[in-house]
Amino acid sequence: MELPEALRLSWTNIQSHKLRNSLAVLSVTIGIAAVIAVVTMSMGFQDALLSTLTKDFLRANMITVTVKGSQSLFGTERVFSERDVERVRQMPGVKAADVFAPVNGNPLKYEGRVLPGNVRITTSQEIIPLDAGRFVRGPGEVVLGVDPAKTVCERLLAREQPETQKKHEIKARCEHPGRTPEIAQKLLGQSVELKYLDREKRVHTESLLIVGVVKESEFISGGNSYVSVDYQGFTETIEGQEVPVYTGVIVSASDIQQIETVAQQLKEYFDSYESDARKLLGDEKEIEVNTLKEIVDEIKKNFAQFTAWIGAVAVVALLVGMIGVMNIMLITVKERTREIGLMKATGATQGGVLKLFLTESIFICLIGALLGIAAGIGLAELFNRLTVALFDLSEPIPLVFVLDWYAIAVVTGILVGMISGLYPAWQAARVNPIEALRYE
Amino acid sequence: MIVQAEKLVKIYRMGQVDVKALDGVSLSIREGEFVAIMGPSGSGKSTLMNLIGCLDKPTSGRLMIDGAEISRMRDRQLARLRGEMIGFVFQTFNLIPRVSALANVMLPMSFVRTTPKSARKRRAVELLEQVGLGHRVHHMPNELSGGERQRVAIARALANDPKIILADEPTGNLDTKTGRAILELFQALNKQGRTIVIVTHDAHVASYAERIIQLVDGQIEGIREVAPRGVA
Repeated sequence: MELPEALRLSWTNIQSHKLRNSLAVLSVTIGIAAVIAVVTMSMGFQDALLSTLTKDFLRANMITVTVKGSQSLFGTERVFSERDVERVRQMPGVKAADVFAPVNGNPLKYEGRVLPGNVRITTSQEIIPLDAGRFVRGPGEVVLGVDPAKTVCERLLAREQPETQKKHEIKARCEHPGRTPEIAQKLLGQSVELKYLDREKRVHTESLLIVGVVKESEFISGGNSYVSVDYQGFTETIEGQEVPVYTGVIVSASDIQQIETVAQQLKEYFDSYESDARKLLGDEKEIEVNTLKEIVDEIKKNFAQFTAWIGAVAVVALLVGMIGVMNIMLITVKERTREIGLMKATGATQGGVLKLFLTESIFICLIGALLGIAAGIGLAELFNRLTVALFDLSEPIPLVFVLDWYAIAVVTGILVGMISGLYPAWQAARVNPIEALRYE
Repeated sequence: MIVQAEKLVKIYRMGQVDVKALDGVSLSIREGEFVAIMGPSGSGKSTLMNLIGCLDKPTSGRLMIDGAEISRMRDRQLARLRGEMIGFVFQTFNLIPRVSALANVMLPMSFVRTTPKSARKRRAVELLEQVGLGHRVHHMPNELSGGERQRVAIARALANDPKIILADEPTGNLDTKTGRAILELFQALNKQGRTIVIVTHDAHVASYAERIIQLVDGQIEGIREVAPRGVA
């Protein structure tokens, strides 16, 4: 029997039992929809995260060097010296190199009030994007993170108009301090207070001028403020000399094509006892050289693990669907015993009957899979909007159309149809026409 | 000879007992003949029809259909032979209820691919016209009367232009008048040269045939040549 005829017979049968066939289709749809929804969402989230990282915080030609095992992208162990950075700057293919470290001190204060977030030291203007103002050029200046900037803004406005403004109105006006020019103007030029330890462990309190506001981002905490290396408070003794030490080195390659070569050089340098970092660290710990590619790969790996886990859940869901379809197909075969007998009497072979019922089962599952894809996309969009509403994101995470997953879903649908239809179809093929034609 | 049977034996196993449904039946049917196989229930007439219709294989003996020995054929070959050589007509019509008269007639053409795809629809319509249902082509089986359904079934039996029409109590579910019309249709088909074999317990039905083969207890009791009723 040719496919169009087989499909027509299957279709008329599916139509004549709409409810139960719809349920069979649904049992496949649910499994497929769940997978597509989760994959679409996680891919969307991954893409949004990566694009924010690469757009706002990481440059494609950037390499970070930290001690392995740090929770932070910018490291926690202070082993990198200024001499190390100087050596790195000399390497071929290196455009610039800078240090990173947290300030050894208290959080910033504004008019006696503690501001949220940490204070970090860096010379690197390259990796800290700003919404307003400029980067710090030396001592006495600070670039505020988004969160502390909000707090300063709220204090400012409350002081300006103590009666007229209500609290939530002030909050609303200070929502995007760096992006609102009128607010940014007010912030730049204000002073905040920093209490820190210098290299001799003496306590200093210093007033810092706000010169910029860090760029807002959905995915990266907006709490960190940045000051110049003058506030570095940690030292180590290397070869009898007291030198300041930092948690990380940031390197930009002059050419993106050379990034792997530069990374290789850095790895060799920091693994040798030429580097101060290795001298301080000894052989125990590893120094990590991360290129953007590695960071992106790491993120993708995490998402892939998540996806694999979802895959396992999907197998269970599809198994349930499979049982549903098999059940319906067994009933169908039983009901159509006479019809099978007639087909055999009029020349249908066992193989022909087998194919007919297999086609029907695949057909049901294929419809299920297609509906599942559509439902999955719909669900993802729904959750997206929910997420935007719940977490107050300024813009929704864009939907990612994961074409290869749709193809996988379709193939899975066909496979599920084949597996769940095989036994019923085999039963149908084995029907004895003489008995079938007598069957009531 | 279109059908030639020699010492056909068919034994069914029913639980612990062997039942001899056919016990040494020898007969032959010429091409273009109208034959009735008659007998009471349990006489083995249905078994004989199943064998002639290639739905079953004999336990022993030889059965030739159009010169081909069927007892050693594989299922696949039997299916093909059924599709090409034999058109079945059943007491209960056995139409597929979900599709139109036209689609029912076209169904066997999709198993045996002798009719080219483009010609199938036209042929099915012609066959329906031939059985007097040119005006009912797109009706569903449940919109047709019993006689009309049996006519659709006959048109379906003719779909692959078989040499033999095998009818099992074709008028059993019809009233006398409708039944007569159906039997006359068989006679008309016979006149065109088709071999008709009707299985029945009803002497009146059998009287439309040229020859009546009487079966009792799995054996041929007698063969009578008759002047068929209704043919002038």
